[in-house]
Amino acid sequence: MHWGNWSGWRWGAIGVSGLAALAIIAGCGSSSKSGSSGKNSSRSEASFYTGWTPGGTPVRGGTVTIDAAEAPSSFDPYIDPALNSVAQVYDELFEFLPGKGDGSQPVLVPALASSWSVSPDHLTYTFHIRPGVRFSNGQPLTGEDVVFSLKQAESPAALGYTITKTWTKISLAGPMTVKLQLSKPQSALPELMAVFSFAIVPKNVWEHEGAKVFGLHPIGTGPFMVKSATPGFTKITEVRNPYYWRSGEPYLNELVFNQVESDNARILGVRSGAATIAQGIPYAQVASLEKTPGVKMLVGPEWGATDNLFNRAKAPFNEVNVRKALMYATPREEIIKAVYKGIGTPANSMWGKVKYWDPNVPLYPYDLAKAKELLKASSVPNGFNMTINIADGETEGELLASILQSSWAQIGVHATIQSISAATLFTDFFAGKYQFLVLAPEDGLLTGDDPSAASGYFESPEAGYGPPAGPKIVGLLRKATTSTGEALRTKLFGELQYDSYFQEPVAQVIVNLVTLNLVSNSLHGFQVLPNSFTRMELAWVQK
Amino acid sequence: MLKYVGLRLLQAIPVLFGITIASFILIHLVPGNPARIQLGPRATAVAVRQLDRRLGLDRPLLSQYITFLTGAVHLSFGESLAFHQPVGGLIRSKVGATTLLMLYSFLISLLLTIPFALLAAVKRERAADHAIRIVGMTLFVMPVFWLGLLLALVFGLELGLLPTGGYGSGFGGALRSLTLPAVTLGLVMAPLFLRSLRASVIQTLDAGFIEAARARGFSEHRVLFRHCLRNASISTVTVIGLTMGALVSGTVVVENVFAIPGLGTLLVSSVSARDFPTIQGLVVVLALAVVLINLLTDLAYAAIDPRVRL
Repeated sequence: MHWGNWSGWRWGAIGVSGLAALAIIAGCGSSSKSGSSGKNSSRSEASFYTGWTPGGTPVRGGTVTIDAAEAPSSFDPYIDPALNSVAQVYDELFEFLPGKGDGSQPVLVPALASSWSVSPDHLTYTFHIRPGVRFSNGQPLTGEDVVFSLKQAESPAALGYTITKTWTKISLAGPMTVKLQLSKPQSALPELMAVFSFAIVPKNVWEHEGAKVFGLHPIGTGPFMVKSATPGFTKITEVRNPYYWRSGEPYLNELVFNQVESDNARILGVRSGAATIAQGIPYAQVASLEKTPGVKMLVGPEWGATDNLFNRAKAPFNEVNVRKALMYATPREEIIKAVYKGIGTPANSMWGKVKYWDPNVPLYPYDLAKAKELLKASSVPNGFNMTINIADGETEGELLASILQSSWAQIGVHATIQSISAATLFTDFFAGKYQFLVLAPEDGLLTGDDPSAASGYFESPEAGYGPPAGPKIVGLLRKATTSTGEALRTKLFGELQYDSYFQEPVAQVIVNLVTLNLVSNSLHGFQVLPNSFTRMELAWVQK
Repeated sequence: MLKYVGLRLLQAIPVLFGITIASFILIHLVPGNPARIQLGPRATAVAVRQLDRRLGLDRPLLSQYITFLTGAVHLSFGESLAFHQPVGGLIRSKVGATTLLMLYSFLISLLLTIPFALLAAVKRERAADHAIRIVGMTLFVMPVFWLGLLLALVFGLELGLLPTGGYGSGFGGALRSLTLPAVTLGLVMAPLFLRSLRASVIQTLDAGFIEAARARGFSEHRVLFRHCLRNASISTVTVIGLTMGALVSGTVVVENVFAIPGLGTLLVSSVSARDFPTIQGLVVVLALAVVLINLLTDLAYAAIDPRVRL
């Protein structure tokens, strides 16, 4: 079960070195302040697949078929939530490459910007556009295309709008030089722009065709271009872009994206050889698929954590003591074992293990006595009744909700589980009509490498974290986002992590997210980034 | 006959009108703003309002309904909110797969029904009859999605005989990819037809004209297929007509299990996205299909039984 666009929303603030200490992790979280250690029954993250499996000599040609639960609604990069089929068509000024070797970290590199510089006051970025790049229709990339594209991202209807709020002027400083002026420093700007909501499109084609037609017949500089698509984009065929700027890439002739909503159908597709990659595998099937011959089950890290939401605008969830009591009364280890099948590590941060992640922020131990004590100090000392909202058909979420229900009952908090359609859940959330919301495990609300992507998350219900957080957290966030020194940012984001998770929990955080892909053994060079995007340039199939 | 068909088609108009009103009201009663769903959680209120306006969702419901109805009369259902394409084109691109699946599964159910119903009737209360009834009942109570998965596992994965999902290109490819879904639906529908036909055949076998046919020295084969089956099939045709609505809903499930890009998968994704124009367009098309199937059922009576005059 997927949450429509919510699950596909891979915003990706994206970061330079990212994923602090992936290798450190198993057994992480020594308790420097108070709380439990991070010891758990989860698998070691050092074994996580990050997407670099060069093994063997690449073979040119062939087709890879990718089955995914969702299909794009358009190839307009500025309005459609991130999906892999769209991402293959475009490039941005910056991009992430997976680290070489399992457990390694992704690296931010310049893409359509061959280089860039920042003014001493951090208010002006100058991008030097890579010469010699051509769009898939053969026309050369120019600075004008870049200015035009970045202006598209500034539209209030665009996905990148919140990031562009600090942008004051985009201008051409030369045929291949673009200047971007800001009202406030935005240290993570290159990372934030490495998602396809900041894709570069050809100005003249877009203006001639309009967004709607362009969204059906896109032109980009990415490794593949659209050859055909069925109405509704349930099947998209993409072929190699002959003008792709990385010489010799991609290896594959063709990518076929099928929308296959049923989890079982996607799995059967790869197992039977009809498909090469199945995306979004249920946690419950990972263990058996790891033992299945002919296929590889790839478990990789993802930027983000499962965040279930308290309605902090409503009593009694507006009280820190109540939220903390529920955090202490949450049997995290049991949940990771039963719901997430031991995959992923307990999360001690609202946004998972991204840049500036502090392993020393303590995890909440399962401590009913402490939970009761906190509840006694609140306005509901004897407990209360509440409703847990969950999307129907979301089996992992339903299991999680029932564990929470039985655990919280022990401190006098009696929950009723209400299964409703995802669309209704979604609408109720934005209308503030909920008490506690269990999100699907793939729906972490922050999936970027730099926590700056949280900008606004705690300030507005529209940002997806519910009602505004306390003034201390909001202040810290604003300061951390606009600070420029790495040391200061590390300190501020560390404090923000501690406060928003342990001191004044904003949401119920349980486990760090993972990417789950099932691939055929014949596939090589398949790269998965921790924002769940796949890079197909270096993918090839064994004949 | 033509007058009858024309009259029935005219009667379908108020039915379809009622269905459009009911579906329009129902889908707007269910919470869920398509613009918000499309734009996702990070979208600003301004962006949602802009999209609402662009999609015409800020207009009064009555005005939206009149627009829909005016378009529907001209077989134009507007533009899909989720896919930004004309609904008519979307439906046309999917209707072939669904129609073929329905016909294929209906054919399979008939191929299973006729021989097994005759066998069960002729061998009534004997081992073959009991075996057919037990297997039939087992298949009938089995959830469609479960049966589909089992067939996909055995014939698609283990034996590698047929595709486990998707929709092949060309007529041959389409037939091959629709075989397992059609068998799934056929196996679920057949027991119902089988039960009805078996009972009718048993009743007909006791009729005087069957005894007369036998007395005239006709072979048992001729008696069974030419005299008995034709007379016994009238009640089964009624059951078939009534079951067609269930076949449409079964198609929705099977299309999702086997990832067939048909009207069923389109309906599911449109409901998730609160894509009102597509849902309404699909409801009209599916309702029209059920009306036409029922009309064909009535015409079948006349073809089978000369006493029926239309």
